[in-house]
Amino acid sequence: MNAWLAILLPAAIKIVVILAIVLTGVAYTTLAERKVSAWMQDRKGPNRVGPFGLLQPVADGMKFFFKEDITPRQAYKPVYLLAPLCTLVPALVTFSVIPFGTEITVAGKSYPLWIAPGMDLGLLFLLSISSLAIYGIILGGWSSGNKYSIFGALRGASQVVSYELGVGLSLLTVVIWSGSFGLQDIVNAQKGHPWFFLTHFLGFIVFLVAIFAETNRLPFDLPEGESEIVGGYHTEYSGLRFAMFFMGEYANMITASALLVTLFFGGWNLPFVDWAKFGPIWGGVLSAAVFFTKIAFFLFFFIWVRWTLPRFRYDQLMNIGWKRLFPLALANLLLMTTLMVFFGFGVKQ
Amino acid sequence: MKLQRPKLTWWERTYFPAILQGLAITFRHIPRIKKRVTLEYPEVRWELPKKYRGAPVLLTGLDGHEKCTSCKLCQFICPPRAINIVAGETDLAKEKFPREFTIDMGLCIFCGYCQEVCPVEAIWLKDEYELADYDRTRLIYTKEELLARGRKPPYLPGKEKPLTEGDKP
Amino acid sequence: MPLLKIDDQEIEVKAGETVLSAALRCGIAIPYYCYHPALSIAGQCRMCLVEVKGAPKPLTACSTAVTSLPPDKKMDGKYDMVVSTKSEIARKAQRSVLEFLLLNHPLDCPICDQAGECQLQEYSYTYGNSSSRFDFEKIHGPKRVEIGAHVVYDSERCIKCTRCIRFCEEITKTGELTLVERGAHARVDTFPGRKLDNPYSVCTVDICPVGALTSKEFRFKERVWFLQSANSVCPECSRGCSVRYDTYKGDVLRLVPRENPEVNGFWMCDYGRLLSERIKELPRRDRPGIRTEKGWTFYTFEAFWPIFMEKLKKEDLSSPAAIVSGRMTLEEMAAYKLLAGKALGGAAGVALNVASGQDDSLLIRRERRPNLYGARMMGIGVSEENPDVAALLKNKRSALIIREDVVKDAAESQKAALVKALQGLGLLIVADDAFTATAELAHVYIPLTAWHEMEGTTVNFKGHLQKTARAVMPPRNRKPFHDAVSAWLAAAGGQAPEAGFAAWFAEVKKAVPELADKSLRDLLPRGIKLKEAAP
Repeated sequence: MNAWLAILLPAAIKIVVILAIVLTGVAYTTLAERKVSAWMQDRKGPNRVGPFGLLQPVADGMKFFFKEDITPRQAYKPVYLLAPLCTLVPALVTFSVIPFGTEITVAGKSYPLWIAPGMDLGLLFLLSISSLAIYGIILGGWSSGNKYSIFGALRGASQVVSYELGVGLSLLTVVIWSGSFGLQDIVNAQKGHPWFFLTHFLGFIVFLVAIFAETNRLPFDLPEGESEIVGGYHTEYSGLRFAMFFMGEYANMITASALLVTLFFGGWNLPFVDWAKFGPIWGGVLSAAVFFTKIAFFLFFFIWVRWTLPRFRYDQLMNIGWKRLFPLALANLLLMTTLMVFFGFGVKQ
Repeated sequence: MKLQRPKLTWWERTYFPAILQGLAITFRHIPRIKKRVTLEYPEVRWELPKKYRGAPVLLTGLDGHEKCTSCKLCQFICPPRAINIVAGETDLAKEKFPREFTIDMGLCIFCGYCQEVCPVEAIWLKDEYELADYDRTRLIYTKEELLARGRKPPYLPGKEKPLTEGDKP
Repeated sequence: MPLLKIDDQEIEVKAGETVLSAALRCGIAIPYYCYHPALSIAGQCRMCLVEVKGAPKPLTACSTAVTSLPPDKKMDGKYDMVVSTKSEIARKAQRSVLEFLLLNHPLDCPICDQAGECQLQEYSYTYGNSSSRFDFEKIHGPKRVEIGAHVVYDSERCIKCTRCIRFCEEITKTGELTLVERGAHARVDTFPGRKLDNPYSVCTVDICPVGALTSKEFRFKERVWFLQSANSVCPECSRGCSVRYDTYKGDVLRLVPRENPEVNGFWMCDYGRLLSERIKELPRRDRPGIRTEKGWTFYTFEAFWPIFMEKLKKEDLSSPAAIVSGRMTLEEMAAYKLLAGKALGGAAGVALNVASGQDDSLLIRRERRPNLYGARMMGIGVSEENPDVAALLKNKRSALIIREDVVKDAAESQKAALVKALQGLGLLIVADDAFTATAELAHVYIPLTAWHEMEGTTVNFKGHLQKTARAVMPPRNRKPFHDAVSAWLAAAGGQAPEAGFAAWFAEVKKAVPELADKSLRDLLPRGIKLKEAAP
């Protein structure tokens, strides 16, 4: 009994803390989006609710909560009602395999700062789960019974299919170099070694572009589009269900940022810093803080790009995916494996 | 005509220089705190231009009667047909007066043609702009209402300081 | 035949024809105010000044006759007169005359009823100056002078063309009006102790080229550019004057005569015009109804007929007294004939000849019904003048009265007997456009469209056939009598022409051989004279 508790309790605490951090992150990313876009456009942004508008996400949430939840008569109800969950839940589940810190040692026992420690195939799990998010878009669009929704869903599906290749191939080099699918191993491989975005610059660029498309962020936000297909896949959604799509998009952004940080920016590593020196507790806390700071930077980057670049046309999107990124990723794979096999590059662990 | 496309170098064709340039521009705007253009509306109001076209009103002449002679030129010119006049005969020197004069503010597009066309300067677009209502029927302004609005002093007597550049609310 | 050259056009004219009438005949624009084809020539307004070759100064085209010159004196070898309407002298004359006319004109177009159909406005745009050089106080004269019961005069707007004065002298021969004072103070006024009270007084408003004379009924009602017009026929006597109904948002605001030399010339009487006021006062019921002991019940047009048929089963309508009207169009009469043959046991209808007053020398006719000639043509008998309707109802169990208010039209001495006779009937069906005193006594009321709410054809006392037009849309449950007959016969299970004017006009064509090869287009705008002699 006590043995079970010793495993479950820390896991439960970690889950609660991570969920709290991620969901709060989602809420404040929406605020950041509005604030940053305002600043970039020489505006002030929301500043009425709370100091500096800090309570704006709460107000938004309340608003969503009290709005009418409309189900169109032509919708296929079971799927229509479940679809928003399909976007939100995978984004949250992926966090179970992401190491967000070193470890905390309490009373002689060390607790690694990730929810599912020892997951050797963490990257594969992460890729497969995060790919599920697109089901929310497809199912939501299809079950709405609305032509705009189905168009949005189709666009989303084909977009994800096209860019998944780029993601997979560019990650492969990282996996080959670090010799493991485990995210912890990949992070450790970047300890005392140049972060992978330096050594795998081509792969990093391919991954960065593809991840924008995967998360449906500008300049690849084609599943929605007021000028062509109204709200796209979520045209018919309102109230809390729309909020779930909305949160799903931002949760996906956070997952994508976490992935970027973990794979290419050394996870919780900082150059020339050994977290073990900071003591059993502070080492873990500080490393986690560094990890989330890095994530915050990439979230800002997502927003920054969104309010700078115009969107691509649909054919351009497909061209970039298939004619540019895919060959580039293949070439990158060839280059990296060649470097490793014949010239002895790579990380020896 | 054949359009001359600029020749791009290989580097330019990757989009990266343009993307980086764009990112730099947007980033530069973030710290420009003093140049924010946001106007915090109900507390701070913009100084209206002199020829601002707000709600149409009817003006009262020096004799205390409405100046309108019910010539219906505004009714004729009004593009959304918001104005409706019923004419009547009066003992005043002007002979003709509007028995009823309604403007449907649900239709009005604030084009100012009525003011332009009025031969006796009886209708005028005032600087009032907070005209929304929860009830459409209240948006149909009657003659009495229009005259009362016409008698009111201008909307912004300068009590609130208009926002100028660099003002922090 | 003298040869006249106006501008670049050669015109052969009758000796003695004026330059203006020759020009108008050929479509050459010469502006004029005081000239009117039906009135004598006054040369009062000077607007029609043109340059005549050889004349020392511009001449008025309206009063300059063309005569033949001896062959050796022809101008340019062949012309008897060379006129220019566009030369510098002519233009200057036109501009100067307009400037004079406008010197004291108040320019109150925004409140003037004539604005929009004002010759002064039109010529100012075409021939006049854009601004006035007159810097002094304009002469003010009396305004809003009620010179007659229906006419208001404004001396400031008046240009003293004297058309109204000549109309009263020459057309009505009553001569109420004259010009008083002199020069710029001149104004039109009635002779002391007189009023402009002849039965055609509002015609002076029509012929007034400016807004000096306005009709009291139409005054300030609506700007003329908002009006919707329909060319139709006046239903108030057997003259059947060609008129134009001017309407706004479903209300008839005025009736204006149309030029029709064979019927009414340029005029119409005041009584006819006041139809626009009488229309408003008529009590209307917009749905067909059936009266029982409990009172009236009204139905929609479609729901009415089955219930009506149920009622007919209980009543005897085999030989009713049928009173039809000269207010019915030919189509409605054709419909009545069909109905009589199929549902009324062949009851021959009687069209009442309601008459009052006297024929006058101009337009007004004693017979107050517009289509009595048409009734005779369609084979419907016409009664003697103002018959005793009670006598027609004698020994009848039922009666059908169409478009006649027999109670109102009955002589005072006969009224009580008539009401009693009507009350004694087992079934009284009244079809009319208004819910009249007669309709109140009826058991069944079928609302019909009024004369101005439907299309139809009508024949006046001289056999002149004209088409009436729909000036306003009727409410949906009020139909022309022929459409009611279509519904009646359809409900009774018989064959009937389909509803609508076109189908029933085809029925009229069958009945009137002369119309067989005529289309509706031939009837517009002034109608045709039927050759058939008056029966």
